[in-house]
Amino acid sequence: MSFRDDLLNTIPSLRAFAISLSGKRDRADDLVQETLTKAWKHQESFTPGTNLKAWLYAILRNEFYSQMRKKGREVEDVDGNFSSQLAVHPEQQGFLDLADMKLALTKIPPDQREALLLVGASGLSYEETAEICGVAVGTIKSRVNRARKKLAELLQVQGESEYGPDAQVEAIVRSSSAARG
Amino acid sequence: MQAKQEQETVIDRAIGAKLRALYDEVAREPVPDRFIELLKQLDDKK
Repeated sequence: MSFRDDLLNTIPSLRAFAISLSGKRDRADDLVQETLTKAWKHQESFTPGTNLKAWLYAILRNEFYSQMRKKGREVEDVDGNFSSQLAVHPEQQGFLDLADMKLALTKIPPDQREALLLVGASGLSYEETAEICGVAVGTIKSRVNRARKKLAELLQVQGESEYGPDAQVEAIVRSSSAARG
Repeated sequence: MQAKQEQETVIDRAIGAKLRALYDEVAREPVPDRFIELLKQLDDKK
């Protein structure tokens, strides 16, 4: 397969990452466009046989942060933009079901958000994610943990039990661990 | 140190499932024409 075909095949997951990271569809597609263009230009620096997706994610997140630095003010408006997007597209089935998660993602710091997305949704290992983000594996683990904790609070996943969230979760985890045996 | 599996709680898995649903929603969309066009342009320039 050609490099062009390889790139084409990664576009759906690149878009998913970009949209979840930036919180905006139009901005996400600009990020993907920039990523593809840079990847093409620097394709000699990609080592065939290594993880192309991881390489592209690294380009994309670097682009995201460099844009964020340039347009610092715009970033603060992520929340407002998301609300207006929700108002525009309510007819899309399944969109509202995930709307709370989309909104919650915009409320956690970008470094935690990207770590959680890469590990929790893109299916990369902690090690691959650490390499992409240029930090230690332990840093990624701690960012992912903090992101999950914050999301759980925001989504009120823990709110149901009268015995407190920890007792409830511990009980479920114990029983499912036992079942897994 | 605990294994990764042991560290993941029910909540982690619920969040993971929802994140992947969010991803899949986008990933199932057809590749927008602008990207097909872009790759074609880049390839033609070679």
